[in-house]
Amino acid sequence: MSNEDLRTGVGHAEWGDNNFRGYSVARDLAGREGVTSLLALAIAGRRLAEDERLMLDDLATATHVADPRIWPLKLARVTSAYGGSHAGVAAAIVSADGARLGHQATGRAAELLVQLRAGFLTENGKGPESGNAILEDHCRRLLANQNRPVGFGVPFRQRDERVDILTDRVAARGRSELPYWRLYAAVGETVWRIKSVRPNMTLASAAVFLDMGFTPAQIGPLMTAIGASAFWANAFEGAEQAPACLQTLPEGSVNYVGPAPRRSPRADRALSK
Amino acid sequence: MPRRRPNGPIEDHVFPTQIEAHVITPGPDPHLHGFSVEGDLALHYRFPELVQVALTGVPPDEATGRAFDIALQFLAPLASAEAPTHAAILARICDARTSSILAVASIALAERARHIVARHEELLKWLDASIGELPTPCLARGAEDSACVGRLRTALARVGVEVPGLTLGPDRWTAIFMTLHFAGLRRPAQLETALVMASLAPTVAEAISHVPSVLTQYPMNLPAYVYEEDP
Repeated sequence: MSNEDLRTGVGHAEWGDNNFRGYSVARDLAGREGVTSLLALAIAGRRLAEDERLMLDDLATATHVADPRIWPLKLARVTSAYGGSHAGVAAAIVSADGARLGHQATGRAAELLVQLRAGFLTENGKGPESGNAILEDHCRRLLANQNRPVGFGVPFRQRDERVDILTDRVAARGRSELPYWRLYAAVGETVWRIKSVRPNMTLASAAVFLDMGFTPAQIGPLMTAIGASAFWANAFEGAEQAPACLQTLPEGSVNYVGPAPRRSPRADRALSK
Repeated sequence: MPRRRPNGPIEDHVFPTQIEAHVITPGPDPHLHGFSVEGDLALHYRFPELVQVALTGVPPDEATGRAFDIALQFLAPLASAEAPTHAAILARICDARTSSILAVASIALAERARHIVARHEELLKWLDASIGELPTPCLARGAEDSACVGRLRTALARVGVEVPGLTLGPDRWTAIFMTLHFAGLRRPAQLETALVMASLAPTVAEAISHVPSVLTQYPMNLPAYVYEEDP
């Protein structure tokens, strides 16, 4: 192998079959894997146990909020307004990369939980139920450094209904006592007590993923992928409608607050000649 | 008639009824930062200078306008080996629509621009401070760098422009960022936009010069991949 060769663990095209992440599509995957578990295999490179697959299916369902007026979904609508659904989805996904708002932020929320947990371990805390003073101290420091840490804040409502749906599903799947879910619940309660800010879906989802062993770097893209059906729903319907009122907003819809009309220096010079 | 759902949080919250605009006025006779495009800028400025007005809010003088124009030209060509052009060619080979080729090229160009600008964070700080020696990583590393900077200085000199710092022996990217900085583009968002717009047309031109759907002409093993099974 030359130095220029690239290694891939993703896939290999073969005669009569294809290999994906080390598995024969024909013998190992076809008839056994669903869409959510294939996405997990694609990004994390491991197959899910059945209870994990069901939990991720629940998470994908619970996270569904598809109202076309919500910012990332509106973006899909506006971009698909000329009839191209794929462009709408692509725009929504690209805009999520590194953004504070949207599914990809679940990865950053996961980083936060990992840091908090590491803090417990390094300070000999016994865990979230211990406290407590250590947890409270961590949360206060977090809030001092960031007014609204990633994973917290629920726009326009008291609590994130998706979190409540997910919480029920986590309990139904017998996963409420797993370490990151317990940490998430304790951090959520502590921050609420200190600052009256509730955790949102990104923090709760991050805990579910972390309890399955996914890394924060995997969690952002995986959440974007399994949550993409709301993008598709909006981009598809939006492209079908291709509404003129989204191609151009109705007259009077724009409030210009920039500089008043003025002449450029060259125009001034031309006039003075 | 479909039954309406009860109010949700969006219905029960009061939102503005207009979208705000800070740069472009709506309607006929559009203005950029207050300057009429059709009645002023189109009469007295070249297109690159209109871009400077858009990005900085200030109409450039002759020197900064020329400098920006020349920097854009140095930035424009990206050969097929470069990822944005390579990606656009792949879209063309897949028989993508022109709009999709443009979208692919734009995404890859934007990613490249973000990567390059982030790599030059220290240089941008140095340019803003304008003090001390040029950081060592920004110095020319060979004859090709020096020749490119020489061509840039020649092009600028022909229109009477001297960009400070180009005599310090910068490498190619440093020299281009010095020129963009001279032209008034300082923030990453301004620089990334300049990089993307400079290369978009040549990148798409290269892509659409390829014949769509001719799969056998594309070098599938360039570069070579070696598949290694995980489990």
